[in-house]
Amino acid sequence: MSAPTGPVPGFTDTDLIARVLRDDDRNAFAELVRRHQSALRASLRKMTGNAELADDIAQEAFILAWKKIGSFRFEAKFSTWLYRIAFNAWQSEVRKKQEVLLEGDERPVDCAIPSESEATGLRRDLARAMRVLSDAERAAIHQCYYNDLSHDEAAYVLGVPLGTLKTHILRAKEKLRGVLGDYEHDFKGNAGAAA
Amino acid sequence: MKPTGPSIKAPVALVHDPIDELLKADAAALQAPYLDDNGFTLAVMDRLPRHRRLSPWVRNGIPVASASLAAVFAFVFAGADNFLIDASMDVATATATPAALAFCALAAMLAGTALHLARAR
Repeated sequence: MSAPTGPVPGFTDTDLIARVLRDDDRNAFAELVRRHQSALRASLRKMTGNAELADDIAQEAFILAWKKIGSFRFEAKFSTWLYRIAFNAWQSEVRKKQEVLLEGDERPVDCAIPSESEATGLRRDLARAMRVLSDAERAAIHQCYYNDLSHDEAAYVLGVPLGTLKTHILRAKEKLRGVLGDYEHDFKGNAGAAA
Repeated sequence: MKPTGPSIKAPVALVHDPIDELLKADAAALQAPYLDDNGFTLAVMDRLPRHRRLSPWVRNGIPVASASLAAVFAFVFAGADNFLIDASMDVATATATPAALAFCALAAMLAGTALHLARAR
């Protein structure tokens, strides 16, 4: 199998996708992978809390993107489309794990919970509070805040209507407000003191 | 098509929202540094399958051949020496005859082929 032979500088993602579509250009696709691998892997690491699993899913997502690139209609940015593929791959991975665990009569896996390993203080409280959210609410928060996507983009990635996404965000914040009530009080106090 | 203009970012809040600020602060704290490739791209490229693509000749040839075949069928089955004149008259007077139907099918096929070739350019 041929390795990527060199960078393709000065091209936008759209140019590179056009080259892939027109000429089956593997170098152009390699450049797309190079450009987006860091952001995608980082996002998946936050979602899964497992670097190895995140990299596997990221690889799978890029391979699926290569297979499906003929259906890419430039309705979204390439990165957003990639997030959508990766999110679906992650969901499918979660379903597989849940099936395995349920067959073994064990507790289903949690998904999309931020890692607590390096969190301290308030961030650890937030990570714990995130556990009260449903998977859909957590995913919405993750895409909008941790991936910094717009509501439109997040709805596209998650494959839900815009209204549903906004509802998930609102409900999630309400739940977090309920769990982190004390913290919210402190936060307001600190903000006031800082002002 | 998705709007190409700048999109509104989610965390925009018109009123002070501590949870919103906490989430933004947490996201900023968790902002990962650039992850080095470390062979990731190479691993992906090694696993890429080959695309099975038809050559442009075949891709464009299929609708052209279909349109040509439709034309032959129209002439043969409409059974008229003055097919185009008879059929266009039937279409104009909204008379449903085999020639009119064949004419419509032929016109649709030719239009589809023209559209396909235009998009392929």
